[in-house]
Amino acid sequence: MAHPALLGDGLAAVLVAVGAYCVARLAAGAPTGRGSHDAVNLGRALMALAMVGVLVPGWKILPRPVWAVVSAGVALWFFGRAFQLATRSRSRSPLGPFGMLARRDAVHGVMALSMVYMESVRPLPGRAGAAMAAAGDPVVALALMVVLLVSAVWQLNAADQLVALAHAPVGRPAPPPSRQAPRPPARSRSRPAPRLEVACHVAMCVVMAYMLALMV
Amino acid sequence: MEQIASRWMPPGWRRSLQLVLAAAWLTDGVLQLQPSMFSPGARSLPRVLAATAAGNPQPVAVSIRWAAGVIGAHSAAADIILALVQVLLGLGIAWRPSARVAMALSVPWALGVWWFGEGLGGVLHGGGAPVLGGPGAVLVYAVLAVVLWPDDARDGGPRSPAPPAARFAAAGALGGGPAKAIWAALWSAMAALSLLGGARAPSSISAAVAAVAAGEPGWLASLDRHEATLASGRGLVVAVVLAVACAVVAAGVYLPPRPARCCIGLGILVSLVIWVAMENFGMVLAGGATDTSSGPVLVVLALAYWPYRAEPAEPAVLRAQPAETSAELMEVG
Repeated sequence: MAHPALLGDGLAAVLVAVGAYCVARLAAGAPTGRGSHDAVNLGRALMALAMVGVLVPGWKILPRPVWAVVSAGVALWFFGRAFQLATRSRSRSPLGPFGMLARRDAVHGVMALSMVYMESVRPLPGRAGAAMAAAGDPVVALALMVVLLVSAVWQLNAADQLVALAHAPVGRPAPPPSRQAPRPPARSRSRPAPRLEVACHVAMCVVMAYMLALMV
Repeated sequence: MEQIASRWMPPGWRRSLQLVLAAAWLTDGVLQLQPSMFSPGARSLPRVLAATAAGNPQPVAVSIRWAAGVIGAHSAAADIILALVQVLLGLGIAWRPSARVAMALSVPWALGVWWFGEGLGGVLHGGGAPVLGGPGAVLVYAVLAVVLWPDDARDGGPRSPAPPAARFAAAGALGGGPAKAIWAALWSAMAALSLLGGARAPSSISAAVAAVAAGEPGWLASLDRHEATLASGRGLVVAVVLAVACAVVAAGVYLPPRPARCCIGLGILVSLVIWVAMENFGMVLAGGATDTSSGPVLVVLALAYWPYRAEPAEPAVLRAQPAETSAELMEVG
């Protein structure tokens, strides 16, 4: 790999920031009561750490096989969660919120799968910075890259709607007026800084797509 | 809650096509950062740029060589900046508040890349035939930005809740007449370019296929060999057939919806055949490609002209989810 060190270092810095932010969200917001949301933060933090190790070989804190196993576990969890949500949203529009959550988890599964791919393929001998392996199948790398970039675009497009939903009060809608009884006001359990969350996702997707492009 | 729920809207057809354009810019930006761009080899950015000057008229060639020289002096930094601009254009189009600005900026940027990066697609020296990659993918990016110009009435934006009637997505901000004229001009030019220059030479197709086979995966290189054998000596036939097909596609948008769909479908087929058979998926699998070539963006353009079936507006744009969905969403999300 012959990419400039400055580029690798800069992208690693972005990932460190994303990882630190996700850890801070976990620490500040725990327990949110939303398992999926916490898992997203944990998954992102782990993947950011693994990606930094790929971009800057000196910062690799665990061997490649260990990262591959960790990433495979993360991928399995997210795909399982996506399947669960997709089943729940079957009766609703696939473009609706449940469908979107299922896709979000599926995309995190794809991100983890990309990490498995990057950590598993054999590095090409004689290439500088051999941590970026290039012995894989370019079709696989390109397919993963396209999924990630489409996800970044889709998420960014929906950012404002996600912000609105993040601040929505939690609770069931009011029953019909005839049966309406006094009920406590809806709780406002807003998700902190939803725009930053979208920015983290976009940054992760773009940097990971870049890393996959290096393997083509 | 009702207000929140009503804000949850999947993107409409026009907006979805804009998002594909955004993804294309983003992909190009990422591909721009491939290692070969930073290496001193034949695929380095300055050499790729300088190569496009060949055959162009003197003023154009001089300007391209000048740009290649400027970029060559600071190759790595220039490549990173070029990539960053494209990534920002993609992200800007994807984020609704900046979509207009990003799409407006993408037009001069695309035209600049078309001039300095693609040598005007070879249209001035007979190398702009569609089978040879002409008139250039990035030119289609500029056309897409124009015909898909954000229009709140049709994109589900906040300014207008009631989208007016439109026969196809590209008829948004421009109106049907100008949008059809753009389509007809582009495909007519492709028809003319098919018959000009070296594209109609007997061995043009086989030579072009052989030129793109290097470095491709085995299955694609094998496909290229079969194509070269099949097309050997048939350059003129292929050029005439392609020119007729492009002319039919150009005229198709002026027909009633049903035949228009057939013609636009033919345009999609032609784009995909050229993309797979001649452009080898934009040569992205060989490494070093900076875009996915013209096939995918021509398909997106065709979809922008695809006549709506029954409802002229986009019913999905204004379809809100039930209120309880938002509440349940917060519980699980």
